[in-house]
Amino acid sequence: MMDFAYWLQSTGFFTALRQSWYVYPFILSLHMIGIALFGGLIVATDLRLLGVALTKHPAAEVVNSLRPIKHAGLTLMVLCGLLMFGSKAEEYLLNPWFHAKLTLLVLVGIHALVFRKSVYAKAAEFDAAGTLPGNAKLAATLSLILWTGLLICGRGIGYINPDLDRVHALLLR
Amino acid sequence: MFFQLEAILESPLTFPALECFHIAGFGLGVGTIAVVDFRMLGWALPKAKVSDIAASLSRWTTIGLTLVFLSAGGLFYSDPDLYYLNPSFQIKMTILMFALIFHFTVHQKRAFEDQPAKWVGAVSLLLWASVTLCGIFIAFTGEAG
Repeated sequence: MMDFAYWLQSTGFFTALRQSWYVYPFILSLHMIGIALFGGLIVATDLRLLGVALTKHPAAEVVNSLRPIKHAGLTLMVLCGLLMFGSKAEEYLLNPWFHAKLTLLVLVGIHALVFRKSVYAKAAEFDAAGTLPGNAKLAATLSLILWTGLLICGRGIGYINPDLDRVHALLLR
Repeated sequence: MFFQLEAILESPLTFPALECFHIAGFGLGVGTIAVVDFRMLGWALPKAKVSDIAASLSRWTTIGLTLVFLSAGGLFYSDPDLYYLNPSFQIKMTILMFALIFHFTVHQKRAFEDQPAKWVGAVSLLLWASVTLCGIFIAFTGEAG
């Protein structure tokens, strides 16, 4: 795994990316712009499912209409994430905050699998019934917790600088 | 009271915690402004009235932006010179001023009077994206870079 990380970050593309003073910050900025411009779509969907915002609009309309933009934003953020990972793959692999972030991303995937059928595909039924069931509120609450956790782990990554020289020495031994 | 304040200011967790509040704050504050922008561009909630969206989300925008400004005060206070003299910070404050003026004049007027325009949504998104970009570059330019 560490061999792969070393190979990846040593490729010409990722070496150039790491060595430029402005490319990494620019990609990080795009990652942050993802939060600023697209994070609100997740929040708005969750708040609607909790029944505390956009209540004049059908839940189904909110869920379905915001989804394509949300996915575009997510794609941008994941792409930026992959570029940042590739440029400093060894450091990321040794960073506990990165491990926590990946774990939360897996949980986000599980959240989608669990609630897609039971909540997001049934939003029109909630509108017809005029009430939001408990599992819709649960899905929204968990979503807000997961994304807040992802944000904290993302910021945490920047505070750990693994001692690569020591790691390399240990690996050689 | 002051002793406790000192302890909080000196804790190594304070700065990263403030950063998290700052990021979560703009995710909520700017993020809900962006929902209105996406409506103006015709990409989100096309059947809904823009004034309804703006009215329903405005309290969340206020909560988010309040978080942003309170945490910003704490971050700035940690090392005022580092920020004040930083070129990215100076550009960020200039664009932020334009973003806020645009938000509280053109943007809110167009939203609450139901006169959505694509250019208003696009300019708003562009201004807030620029503020975010300059925010990140603070850590990579000037004394901090």
